[in-house]
Amino acid sequence: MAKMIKETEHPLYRKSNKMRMERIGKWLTFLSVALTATITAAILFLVFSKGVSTFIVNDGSVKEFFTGTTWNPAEVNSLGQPIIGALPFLVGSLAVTGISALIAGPLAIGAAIFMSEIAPNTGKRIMQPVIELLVGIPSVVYGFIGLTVVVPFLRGLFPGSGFGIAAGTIVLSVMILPTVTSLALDAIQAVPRSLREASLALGSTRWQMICKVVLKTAKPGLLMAVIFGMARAFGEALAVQMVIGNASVIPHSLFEPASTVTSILTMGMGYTVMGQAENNALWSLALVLLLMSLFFTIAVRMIGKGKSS
Amino acid sequence: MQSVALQPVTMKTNRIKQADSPDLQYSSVLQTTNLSVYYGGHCAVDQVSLSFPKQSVTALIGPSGCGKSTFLRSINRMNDDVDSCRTEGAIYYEGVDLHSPHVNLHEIRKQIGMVFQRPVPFAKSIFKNVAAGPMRYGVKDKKELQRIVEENLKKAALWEEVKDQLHTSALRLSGGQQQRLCIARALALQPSVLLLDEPASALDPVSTTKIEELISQLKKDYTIVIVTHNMQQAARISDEVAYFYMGRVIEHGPTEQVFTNPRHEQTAHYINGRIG
Repeated sequence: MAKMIKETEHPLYRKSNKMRMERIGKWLTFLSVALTATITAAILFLVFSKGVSTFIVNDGSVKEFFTGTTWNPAEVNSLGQPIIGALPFLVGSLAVTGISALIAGPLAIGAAIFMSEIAPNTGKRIMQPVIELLVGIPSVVYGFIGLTVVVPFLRGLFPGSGFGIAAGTIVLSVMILPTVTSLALDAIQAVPRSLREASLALGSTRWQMICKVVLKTAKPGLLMAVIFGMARAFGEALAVQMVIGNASVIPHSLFEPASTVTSILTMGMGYTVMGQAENNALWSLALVLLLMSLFFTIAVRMIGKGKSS
Repeated sequence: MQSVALQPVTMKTNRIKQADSPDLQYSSVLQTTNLSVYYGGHCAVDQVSLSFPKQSVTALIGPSGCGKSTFLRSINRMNDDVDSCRTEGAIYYEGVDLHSPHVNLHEIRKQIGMVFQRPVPFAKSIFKNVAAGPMRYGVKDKKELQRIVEENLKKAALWEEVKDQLHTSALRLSGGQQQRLCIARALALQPSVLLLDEPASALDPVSTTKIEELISQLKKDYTIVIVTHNMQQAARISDEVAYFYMGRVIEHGPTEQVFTNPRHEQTAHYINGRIG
């Protein structure tokens, strides 16, 4: 071994400011992520423990929750179980989400195609900023417009009050349209130019290129766009609550008042006391919302993974 | 059936040839006269007049940015889709001016096939990649499609490697296989001219050799124009060479002559690696 050098003698041993900066940076970012993770875990824990206590503490029946049609958690039935049939809300939520995705999805993809393929210049300069502006409009504004325009319009055309799944669907479609369009546009623009040229070089028309190559390649991204839209629609409370009528029954038509998981949650929150069966039942609804959004997130992740492989 | 369906324009065009460009040699299927291409104000190709003899390989060589790729892309009018790109001069294919407003752009691209620098298979099965072109022109019969796919994969020397996995994704193939697939895809439309834009530059040496052998094979049936940065490749596979510099053709002639006895000093410099 050569002559030992004392720690202070060689410049390589010297501590510097840079090392301190490194440590501080590491800790700052770690703290941020730790805080976020803790809050998320706490929320998950709260919702889970509260949501499950309907079935454990208050003896609610899980089967009744998913299949029963009567919602009256303050009362108990002959078996001593709270009456927590949430099926009408589940149906309502799934209906508004599904139908609005069916309406907004194709429209959004069509608009994205136009903006990216047919009129890329106008698309980029005018339409894209407009769409991005629409994404930022608060949902209460959409709900308000629904209440003053859509509901009276439906009332004039169809029997009934105008409140119902149809009104909720229309408001939600319009609301998620910009989001889905924006994401679909990203997906379509991500299709490499080389693929488009390869298609054109085979003598394809622009339309053939769009259908056979662009849409096909962008399919996972487009699917993700629609699912993001559905997640937003499923979780939307305010705008839907304003136009859907909030009757806790399974409607027989799209023009009868109905309700969704979110609308019942926002309606009921203020009138229950923490710890009561009524309040716990609302937490169970919140748990359902949480699990659904988890499902949407996982779906998007799976599609994303399939895309990269 | 198939060949009739795929080549409706060719028959008619022979007659126009004599009237339109009497000086055209019978043996050259493709010819440009004073072709210039501008990107905005920048002149990328400057008054290039070249003719490409039938069933031969012409290599376009020259340093990066000399306009050879742009020239190649303007032959099947791929530059139409590039904003701010403007073309002057004429391209004659079998005597037809390709810039004439009455010419069917899709038909041009069907008869003048193109293969790009990077392999660009579609995210579909191998079978569907080759069948894509004919299907877009209305070939629906399954047996016919099967025949076309097999024939062209064989032509592209890929059949033996993929015949058992025709319905797996084309994206699973290696880069070299993907490029041969792209060649098969172009051949499936029964073009008479093939434009190859550095088809082997993104490939390993073994794949490159395969592509070169393939080009020598295809020469019997097709007129091939190839852009390449590889001097040895140009020397190996081409019959004629055109040396581009700053958008102009400095020298054009038989490969052997250009490589052994170039008329221009600049060409000699480039071939020996002193420019570019």
